[in-house]
Amino acid sequence: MENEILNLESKARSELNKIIESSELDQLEIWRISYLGRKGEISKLMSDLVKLSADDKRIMGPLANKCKTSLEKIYSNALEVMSLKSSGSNAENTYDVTLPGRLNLIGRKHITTLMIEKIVKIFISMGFSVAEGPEIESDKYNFEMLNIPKYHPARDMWDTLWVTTDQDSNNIPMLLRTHTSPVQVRIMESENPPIRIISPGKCYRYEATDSTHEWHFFQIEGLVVGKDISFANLKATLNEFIYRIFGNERKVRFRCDYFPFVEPGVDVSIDCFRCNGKDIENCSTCNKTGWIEVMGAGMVHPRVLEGVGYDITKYSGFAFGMGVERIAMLKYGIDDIRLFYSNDIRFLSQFHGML
Amino acid sequence: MKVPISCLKEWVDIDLDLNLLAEKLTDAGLEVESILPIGKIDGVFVAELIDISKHPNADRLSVCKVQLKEQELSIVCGAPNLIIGQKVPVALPDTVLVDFNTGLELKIKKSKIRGVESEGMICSEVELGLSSDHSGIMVLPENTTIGESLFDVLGDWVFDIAVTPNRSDCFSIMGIAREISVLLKKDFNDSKLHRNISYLEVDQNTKDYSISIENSELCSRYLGYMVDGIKVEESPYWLKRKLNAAGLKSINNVVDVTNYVMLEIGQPLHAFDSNLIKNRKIIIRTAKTGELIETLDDESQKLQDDMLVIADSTKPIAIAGVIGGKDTAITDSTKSIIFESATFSQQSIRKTSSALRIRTEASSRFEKGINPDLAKIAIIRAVELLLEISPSVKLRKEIDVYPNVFVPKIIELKYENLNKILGLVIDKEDVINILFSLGFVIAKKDNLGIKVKVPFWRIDITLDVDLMEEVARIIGYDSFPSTPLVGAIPNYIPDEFREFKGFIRDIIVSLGFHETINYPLIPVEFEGIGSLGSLEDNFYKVTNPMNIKYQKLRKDLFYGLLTSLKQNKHVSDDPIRFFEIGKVFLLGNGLSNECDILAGVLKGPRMSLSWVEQSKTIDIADVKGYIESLFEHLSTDFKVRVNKSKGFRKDKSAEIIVDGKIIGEFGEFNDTTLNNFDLDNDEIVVGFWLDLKQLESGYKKTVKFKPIIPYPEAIRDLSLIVPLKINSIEIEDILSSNNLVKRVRLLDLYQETIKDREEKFLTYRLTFQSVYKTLVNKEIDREIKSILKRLKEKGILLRDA
Repeated sequence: MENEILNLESKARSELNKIIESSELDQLEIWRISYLGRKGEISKLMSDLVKLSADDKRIMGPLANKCKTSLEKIYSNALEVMSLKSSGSNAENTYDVTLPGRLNLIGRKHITTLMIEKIVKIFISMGFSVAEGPEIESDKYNFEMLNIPKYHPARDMWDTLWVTTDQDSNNIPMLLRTHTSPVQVRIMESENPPIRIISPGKCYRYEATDSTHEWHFFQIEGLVVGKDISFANLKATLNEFIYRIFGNERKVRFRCDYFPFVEPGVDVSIDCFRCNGKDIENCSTCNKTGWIEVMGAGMVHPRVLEGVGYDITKYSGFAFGMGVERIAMLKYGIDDIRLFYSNDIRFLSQFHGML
Repeated sequence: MKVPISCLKEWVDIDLDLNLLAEKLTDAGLEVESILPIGKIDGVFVAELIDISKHPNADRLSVCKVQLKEQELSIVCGAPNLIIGQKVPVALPDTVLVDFNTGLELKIKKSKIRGVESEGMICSEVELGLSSDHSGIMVLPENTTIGESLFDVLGDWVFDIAVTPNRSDCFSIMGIAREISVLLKKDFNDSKLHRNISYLEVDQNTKDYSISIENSELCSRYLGYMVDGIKVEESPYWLKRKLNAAGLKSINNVVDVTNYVMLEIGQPLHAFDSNLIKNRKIIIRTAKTGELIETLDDESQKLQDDMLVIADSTKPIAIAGVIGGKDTAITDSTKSIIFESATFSQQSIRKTSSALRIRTEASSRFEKGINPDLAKIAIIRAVELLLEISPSVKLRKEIDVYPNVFVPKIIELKYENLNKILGLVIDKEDVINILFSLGFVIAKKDNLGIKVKVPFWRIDITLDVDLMEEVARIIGYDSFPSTPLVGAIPNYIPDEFREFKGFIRDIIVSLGFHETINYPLIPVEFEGIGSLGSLEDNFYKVTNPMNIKYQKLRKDLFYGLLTSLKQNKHVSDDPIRFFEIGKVFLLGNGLSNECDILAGVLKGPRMSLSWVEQSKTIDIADVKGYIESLFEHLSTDFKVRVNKSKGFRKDKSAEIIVDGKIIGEFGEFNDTTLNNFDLDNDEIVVGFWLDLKQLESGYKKTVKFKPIIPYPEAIRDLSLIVPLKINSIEIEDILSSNNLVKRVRLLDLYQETIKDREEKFLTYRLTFQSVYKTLVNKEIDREIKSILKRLKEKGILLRDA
């Protein structure tokens, strides 16, 4: 009996394979009736089982069942494969999948937001925290605590918009912050070293607007203070950041520059990725120099550290800052900063999340 | 600062390519912004004027013959200063000139002028792009060789350097030359600085003028030098050229000397006509409030009592360090002068110059700080220079008022600190050599460190870190290693609100809104939209606005958002959904000054046009729906209450309430608002705002898992006849107050007049579910009965099937 069952299964299989090759659905139905139908081979096999002794039933029963389920399975597979094949040639009752679908509205974050998120993410992965602060600031936080006393000539570097209220009785002049550095001062006042923070945010300058200047822009500044923080650490941190934003192949150049709140002061440039130093004479991206300034930086000035009560015999630090729009303009080839805040949807909708 | 290379070469030997030199200077902190050629024009040559005759057809024109090597050219010229024998620059045909004043290009052509052939042009300085002088043709020195190109005669290169405000010493040719000498390891030829005035013939006995300083805290030194026998005339050619190359205008020999010494040494000088100084008394004092002075720029200035002036016995004759007075200015008839070389307080100069809005070459140098020791060097140089160009002048007495002599600073630098801050062990000898070459005197040295005396011109050096920068920048920043941060990562400083804002931004973007960022300054006439803008009458104002129209700081975000809609009028048939997350600036009254607000505006169809279904225009239900979706995302409940709010249509605005507090609004903008933003009246534009800080405080960040109820839900629809005055929320409250009702949804709403009475028909779908068991029909019927009973008390009836 065992052999009968096995022969039956192998015969059925080989017949079915031929039918699948022939693609004839009618033959498949005939096959089904002859094996799986009410009077089919399996049915017969089952009725034969009844006649067996109890011991034989215990052995043959499962075997017959296995044969049945296996034939059922290959049948349903064959049916699926063959109907799919036939529907391809038979176009009736099909859906035109090339029709446009039902749309949902797509929203996009502002390029400035995306850029900030990207930059913030890089620094968070390097162990930085993120802090924000007020946009209306006092002279003290925006300038004095940053080693820029009143009537200091360096104040020309930050043309300032001053604000007041009609009902202001105490008459302390306030201003729209010219950089996000005041946030760093506030953080240093509330936290003890070691710290690593970045502060993104909106800043303002009294400045005529043109294709590269905005009176209203975003900055990201960073600050690291701790024991034995060195100029060499500054270089490594900013190198790493630039590689991640502009690619590992970039060259980074550090030059001497002046900002009152750092000493030594640093100007950070990258080699021009538009002309790659090959067509410098005609390159407007690097202004025919081969290099593009991307950041200002430096070792935090001891007066700034002392101002917030840090012990300068123990701690040192570095700081850096960059214009968010400038980084975005360089990275995505945007030629006019005024596009950022005129909010034309033809501009806004170009920048997507993975940017 | 424009620095001609020819001037630098008087101080230091420059044998390096100028581009490489510019790189070196920039690396060391003196950014060379551009390298400009002076007089580099192909096609302009030196020629001699050999004949002048009247133009036959024009009174004002002459026909000139010029000799250019073997060639003789005929040129028509209109200049008034033509003399036979002059050496003049001639531009040949096809030469392109750039006008100094206009920047426009001019191509020289061989042409007939009033019938006479002209084979080139005899050029003025303005035509050659050399200076603004267009009084006549440029006359070259007599010994100039005919046929040489103009560039060979007077050509120069100029570095335009962006000197940072700390480097007051580099606002001078001398300072930059000193830097170059260090960077190129060349000798610095400062022999000009060490001359002694005593070798000049000076009449020391005359003592017919006086100097007194009343405010020595504002003027630490005042040096006067009187010179008689002055003949005011044009400066020599070489001096004019150098001034022009550096971007200054030549005025006359006396003024040019003061200006050139300022360029060269960095010390601003002034020259008074000593005969015009009343009683020849020079008094350095603060002004009396309201005192007037007419200045060299022909303006009258009203002075304040904190402004320092130079006065004679009757009135101010100069605003100290800012600008000279007209009354005592050098004129053609000046016979005797007093040179002033003084040191004024940098803060005072900056204060005065910004209060009067006068920025001069002098004030911008003084405000950066100048050491009093420079005053003496400069005045000797000025006297010497004047003597050189006008040998007949007679030197009179020098008066030097210098109450508190400057004491040089001594700074200690420990090698250990240097190496720690810079992250590199630097050779001790290198440190010493670099500082020495920069002019520092090594006062003491041992194994641990050095003590140096800071040279007087480096007023920016006050701490050891300043010395570290000097060492680092001369070695070159690129020579330092790049060493990753080590040690434990500092504690994370949480900033939950920023993260919450990011979460909200993600949600609102996912709902199909585009983010905008808008300027926070709004026009004076804009009063605000919604109740946020009108909480207070007062706005923060910018006191020095760039545009007088925009000086108020926003108190709501709608001005910017609606302006953005206006900017996008080109979008005709697509939906626009804009939002902004930004700060508004509110005044006192218990509110914080800056609030972070989310606001949005919507217009156009509900969906993009599509074959699938006809899209309807949005209305107030859409904005409400977006707010509901946002709160659904936050799993937070809110209530609304109709209100009357500025800028919205009557009965079509509402407050958003969470935990009893109003945290936002939504509504449909009224016609006035639409008109103000140039938007179509027929169009529906809706908007909303939410205070994010308050939204955050109503938001429960922690989630606790609730078991899933295993019993099935049962659904019943109720069609109700509702009196007009009853709001949907009242019905919903009754429906959802039943313990077994899990969810209430409005399926249908319409209005109809029945028996002369306007009625509303609302259909609700109720979802019943028990947490304990499967509900049977009988139980649900019982609950519905009790609900209908409560509805009936309000006059709400079940609509008969």
